Amino acid sequence: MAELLHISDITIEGFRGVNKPLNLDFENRCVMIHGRNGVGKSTVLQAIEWCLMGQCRHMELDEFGREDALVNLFHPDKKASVTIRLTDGTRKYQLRRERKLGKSTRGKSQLVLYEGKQEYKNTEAEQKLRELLVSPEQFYAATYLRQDAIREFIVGDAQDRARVIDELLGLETLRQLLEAVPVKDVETAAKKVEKEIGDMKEGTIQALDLATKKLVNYKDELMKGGLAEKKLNADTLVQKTKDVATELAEIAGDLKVSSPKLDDVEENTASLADGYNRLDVFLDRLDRERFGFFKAAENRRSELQHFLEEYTDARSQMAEFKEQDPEELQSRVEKLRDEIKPLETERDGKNDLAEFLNDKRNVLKGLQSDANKAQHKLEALKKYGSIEEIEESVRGFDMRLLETARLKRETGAYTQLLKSAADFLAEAKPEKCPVCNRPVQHAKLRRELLLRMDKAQQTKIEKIEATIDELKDKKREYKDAAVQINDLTREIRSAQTDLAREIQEIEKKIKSKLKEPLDIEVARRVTNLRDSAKQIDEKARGMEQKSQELENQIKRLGETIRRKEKLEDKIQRVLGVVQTDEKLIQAMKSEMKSAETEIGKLNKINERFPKLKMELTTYKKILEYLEESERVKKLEKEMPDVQERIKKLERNSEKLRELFMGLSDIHEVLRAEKESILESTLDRLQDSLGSYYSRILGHPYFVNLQLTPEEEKKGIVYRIVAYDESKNYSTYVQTRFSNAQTNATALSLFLAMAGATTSQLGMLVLDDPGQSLDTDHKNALANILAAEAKEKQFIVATQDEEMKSLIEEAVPKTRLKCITFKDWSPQAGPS
Amino acid sequence: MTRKSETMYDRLRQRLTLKEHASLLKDVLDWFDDGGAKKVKDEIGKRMESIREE
Repeated sequence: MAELLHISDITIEGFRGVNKPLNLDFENRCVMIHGRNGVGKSTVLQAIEWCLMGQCRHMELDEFGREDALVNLFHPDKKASVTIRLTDGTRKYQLRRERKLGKSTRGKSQLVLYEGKQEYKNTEAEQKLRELLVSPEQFYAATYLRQDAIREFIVGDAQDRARVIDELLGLETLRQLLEAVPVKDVETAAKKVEKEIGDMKEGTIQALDLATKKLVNYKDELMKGGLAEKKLNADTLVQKTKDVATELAEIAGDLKVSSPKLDDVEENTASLADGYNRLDVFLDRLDRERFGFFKAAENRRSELQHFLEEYTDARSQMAEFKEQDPEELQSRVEKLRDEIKPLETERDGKNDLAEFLNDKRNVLKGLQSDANKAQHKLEALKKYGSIEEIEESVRGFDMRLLETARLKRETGAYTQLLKSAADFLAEAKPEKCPVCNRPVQHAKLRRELLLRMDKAQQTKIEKIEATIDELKDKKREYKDAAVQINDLTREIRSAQTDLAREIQEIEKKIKSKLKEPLDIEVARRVTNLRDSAKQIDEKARGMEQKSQELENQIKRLGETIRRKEKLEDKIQRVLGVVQTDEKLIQAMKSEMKSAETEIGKLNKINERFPKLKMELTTYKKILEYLEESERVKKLEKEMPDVQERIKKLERNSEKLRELFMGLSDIHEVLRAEKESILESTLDRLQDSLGSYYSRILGHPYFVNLQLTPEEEKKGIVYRIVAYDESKNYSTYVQTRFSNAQTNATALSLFLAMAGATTSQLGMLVLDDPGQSLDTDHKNALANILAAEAKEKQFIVATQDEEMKSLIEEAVPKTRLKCITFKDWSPQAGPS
Repeated sequence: MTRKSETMYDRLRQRLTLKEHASLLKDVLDWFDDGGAKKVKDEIGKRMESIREE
C-alpha cells in the first residue's frame, strides 16, 4: 500500500444512522467491519461512496426523491458530513463533504478538498477529485462492490456496460471520437445536395426539353387541322373570341336568355384563357337552356297528342249511347225489379209445395208398404186357423203331452234304475258293495248293468221323448202364431190410421181430394208443381238479366260522361280555354302546331352547336400552344441561371462528398485502432479474469470465463461468456448460472477490472461479498483478499461469522484492522 | 496538439486509406483536444455550413 492512495481515517457525523461524530482510524491497514444486521456497517461504506462520488447510487427508488434519507433526523444541526483522509505515504489529501437536511436524498452537497495546504472548493474540488482519484464509472465497476450493483453490471444494458468497460480499458477517447465524427450527418447533407441537383435538372432542363417537344406536337396537330402557322397567335384568338361571342349572343337572343360581355379579351394568354373559359361556360349554359326548351316543347306536344287521342275516344264512346238518359234507364231497371219479386215468391211457393208432397209421398209409400207386408204375413198365418181355433189346438197338445209323459215314466222306470246304478258306479266308485259287502269291480259291473238295459225298450223311450219334443214344438209354434196374428192385426190398424191422417194433411195443403192410386196422384202433382216453378224461374231470370244489362249500361254511360268531363276540364286548364267538343279539338290542334314550330326552331339552333364547340376546341389548342410557347421562352430565359446554380451545387456536393470520404476514412481508422487496442487489452484482462474465476471456484462445468466484444449497430458491446474445459460448449452467464455462481463471476470480473484500471486509488470496497457463497467459495474469496491486501487496501463489511473468521485467518494481523459494531441507537448510532 | 494526441495521430495516420485525409484527421484530434466530442461535431458542422454557403 505504499504507492497507491488509500483511506487513513474517516469521520462521519449526521449521516444516515450515524448521529454523533464517529471517527474510525484505519491505521493504514485493510479494514473488516463486522456486526449483526442493522448496526451501521453499510453506512460506513455508503459514507465513503458519498464523500468520494457525491452520491449513493443504490438510492434510486422514487421514495428517495420524496425525503432526505442521508441526513440524520436527530442531528442537532440537521447536517450530514463525512471527512476522509487519503494518503499514499507521501501525498496527503483531505476530503470533506457536507450538506443540510433537504427535501430529497439527491440534494446537492458541498465538497472541500485539501491537497497538502492547497484548498479546493465545490466544482473545482470535484474536478480535482476526478483528476486525482477515479471517475464514477471506474469507482462503481472496479472500486466499490455492492452485490446488487455488480449483478446489475452483469445483467444490465449492454451499451452501458460497454461504456464502463471502454473507460476501464483506456478506450474512452477513441469511443468519444468515434461518437463525435458525424459521418452520417455529412453523408445525409451530401445526399441532400445531390437530390437538389437532381430536382433542379428535372425541374428545368428536362422540363424545357419536354415543353419544346409538346410545343412541336401542338403545332403539328394544329397545322394538320388546316391552320396556317401565321395564324397561331393571340390576334387570331382575339378575333375568334369576337366571332364566337357574336354567334352565342344571337343564339341567346333566340332563346331569350341574357348574354354576358365576352369580347373584351386582350392579347395575352391569361386574358385569352379567361376569355376561353367564359365562352366555354356560356356555350355550355346555352346548350343546357336549349335542351331544356326543346324538352319542354317535346313534352307539350306529346301531352297534347295524348289529350287529343283520349278526348276523341271519349267522344266516340258517348256517341255509342245515342243520347240515352241514365234516369230513364234507371226507372226501367226498377220496374223490372218490381215485376221479378212476385214471380220469385210464386216460384218459391210451388217449389216448397212440391218438396212437401214429395216428402209425403215417401211417407204414404212407407205406410202402405208396412200395411201390405203385415197383411201378407197375416195371410201366411191363416193355416193355423182363427185365434179361437189355435187356442183349441194348444189345449189338445197339452193333453197329448200329459199322456205321453205318463207313458215315458212307465217305460223308463226299470231302465232308469239300471242307468242310475251304472251312473252311480261311475261317479261314486264304492270299494265294497253296499248290499253284500263284497269288493266291487266297477268297470266290469257297469258294463254288466248297461248290457242289461233292454235295447228295444231304450228305442221306445227315445221315440216317446221325440214325440214329447215334437208336441212341445207344435204347441210353441201355435202359441207364436197366435201372438204374431195379434201383433200384425194391430200393426195393420195403426198403418191405416196414419195413412188416413197423412192423406187428410195433404188434402188440406193442396185444398182438394186425392184420387187413387195415391202414389201416382201425388207424384203427378209434384211433377206439375216443379214444371210450373221452373217456368216461373226462367221468366224471372230473363227479367233479372235484362235488369243487369240495363244497370251495366247505366254504369258505362256514367263513366264515359265523367271521363269526357274530366278530360275536358284538364285540357281547358292546360290550354286556358273554355270551349268543348269540336272547338276544343281545334284549339288542341292549333296548340300542337305551335309546339312543333318551336321544336323545329330549337333543332335549327342545335345544328349551330357542333360548329361552335369545334371552334372552341381549336381555340383551346391554339391557347395551349401559346401557353406552352411562353413556358418554353421562360425556361430558356431561366436556363443560364439554373445551369450556374447546378454547377455551384455540384461543387458543394463534391466538397461534401470529399468531407464524407475523409470522415469515413477517419471513422474506420478510429474503429480499427480501437479494435487493435481492445484485442491486446482483452488478452491481458482475459488472463486476470480466468485467474480470478478459477481461484474463486466458479461453475463446476463452465470453468473458463471470457469477455467477448461484439460489433453492433451502435458500436462494440461486450458479452460475458463461460466455456467448458474443452471449450466445446459455451453459455452466457446471465442465462444458466445460479445466484452463487453469478456472484462468483461478478467477483472475478470486478477483481479483474480493478486490476485493469489505471486509477491512483488503491482501494477495494466490498459490501457483504460472502453473501450466498458456501464455505469453499468464502475461503477462496478470503485468500484472494489476502493477496489483494499486499497491493491495495480493502474495506469489507460483513455480518457472516464464517467469512470474518476466514478473512482473519487469511490476512496477516498487521495488515488487517477489524472493527466490530455491537449495537446501534438512534441518538448515538453504531457503538 | 498534446503529446498524447500527437502519438494517437501518428498511429492513426498510418492506417488512413488516403494520405490527403491526414490533414482532416489532425484537425479532428485538435478539436477533440480543444473541446472534446462537442467541439469536433461543432467544427464539422461549421465546415458543412461553409460549403453550403459557397
